[in-house]
Amino acid sequence: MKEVRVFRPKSLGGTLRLYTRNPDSLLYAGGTEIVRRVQRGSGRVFAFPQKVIYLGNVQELNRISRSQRYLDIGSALDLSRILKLGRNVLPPVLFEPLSGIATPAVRNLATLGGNICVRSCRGDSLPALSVIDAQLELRTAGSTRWTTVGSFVSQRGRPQLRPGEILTRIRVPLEEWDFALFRKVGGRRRRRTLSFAGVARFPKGSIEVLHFCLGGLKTPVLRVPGLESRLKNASIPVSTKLIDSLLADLDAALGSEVEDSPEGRYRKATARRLFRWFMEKVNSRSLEML
Amino acid sequence: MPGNVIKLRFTLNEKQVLLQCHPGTRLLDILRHDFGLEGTREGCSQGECGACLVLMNGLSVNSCLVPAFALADSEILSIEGILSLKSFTDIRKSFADIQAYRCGFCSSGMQVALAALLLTKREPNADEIRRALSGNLCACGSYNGVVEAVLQSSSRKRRYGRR
Repeated sequence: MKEVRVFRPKSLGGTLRLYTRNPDSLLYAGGTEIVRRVQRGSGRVFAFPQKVIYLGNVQELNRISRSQRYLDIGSALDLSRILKLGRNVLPPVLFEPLSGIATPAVRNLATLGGNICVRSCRGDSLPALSVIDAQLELRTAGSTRWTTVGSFVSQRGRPQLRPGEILTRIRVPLEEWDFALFRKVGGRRRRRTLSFAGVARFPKGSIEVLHFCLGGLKTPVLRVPGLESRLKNASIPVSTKLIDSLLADLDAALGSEVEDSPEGRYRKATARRLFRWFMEKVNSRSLEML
Repeated sequence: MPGNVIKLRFTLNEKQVLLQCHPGTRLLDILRHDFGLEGTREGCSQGECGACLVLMNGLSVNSCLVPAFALADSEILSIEGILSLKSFTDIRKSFADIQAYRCGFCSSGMQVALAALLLTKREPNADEIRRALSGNLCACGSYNGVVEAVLQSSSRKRRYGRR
């Protein structure tokens, strides 16, 4: 059997120092995705790489703190404990994708940090975190930096981590939204999944702010800021003419995101339908609020 | 090689146990092969079917996804431990009365999922039961029977009180 050395640090400082000294080690928290990759045959023993740093005992990575404006979620905290906060605390646009991930037993192991960093499960939380402008805290033994979800995940889907850097916290803004929507469509295979997250606030007959994000395209987190800014201060209900012109903008943004194949055309059409549906929902919600 | 073996201390079915094994050994294999607890079944080995569920620190987890090194100082309750709990006797009776299961392969996983639910909710409704069982696959389709058995056991408790 292959030799595996497992480090089980208890503090974040210790973890970061360990990771600096052992940059080739595997960071392990929930492990639900990793263990599927390292299973061999009928199992028995997982074929882990030589060094593993287990994050399950690191207190700082396994807690939630809440202030008036933010929710700080430790990256190694399991999804079930995050979901226990409930719809009233957790933004609904984030609650939806998290509660739809895998099964209850897998959610007891899987972590939000893992969902953000592991490429194969990105359809779920990233678009939702992006539309609410969540921030990610990345730390090394000697530095801390904050980044947005969009800039953390590269065009090719790799997490933008510098040597010795660990995703430690996810900062979720606790803003009130008049309307929030998350939908995931397509099969379970990552290539076929398309997810849409959108939030909007329209307090006085016009849109104050509207964000939307598509996940699962070539760019893992696709925001179209130009389109969002065109909707700023637009009166509600948003006219069909404006929606059609926005769809033309969306088409342009989707141009390089999908391949010219039947599947690509289907994905483009689905992305358009999701956006149109979101706008219709915003309109009907605004009428309810009048 | 010394690095290949780790010493673990954890609680298994309310007893402290010590184990030496490879750090990558699956909890499922530790239970079945090292402790002879074969009530925990191996299904898909990918965390999808729920046949290998156990309670880890009071939460249901797929034992096929948990490596040995994550076990240190944890509390594991396998189906054998759950069935010996007094609080679970009523439900076992209802399963038998209704003949909830067909082949029974999924039964241990389902009962662990239900135990996890009943730890947080004493008298769950049908929706909550179905949600708790959403990670358990049953090829024979015994879901409705299981839901009915849990509801029956709850109504029996209401009628006759806790014993």
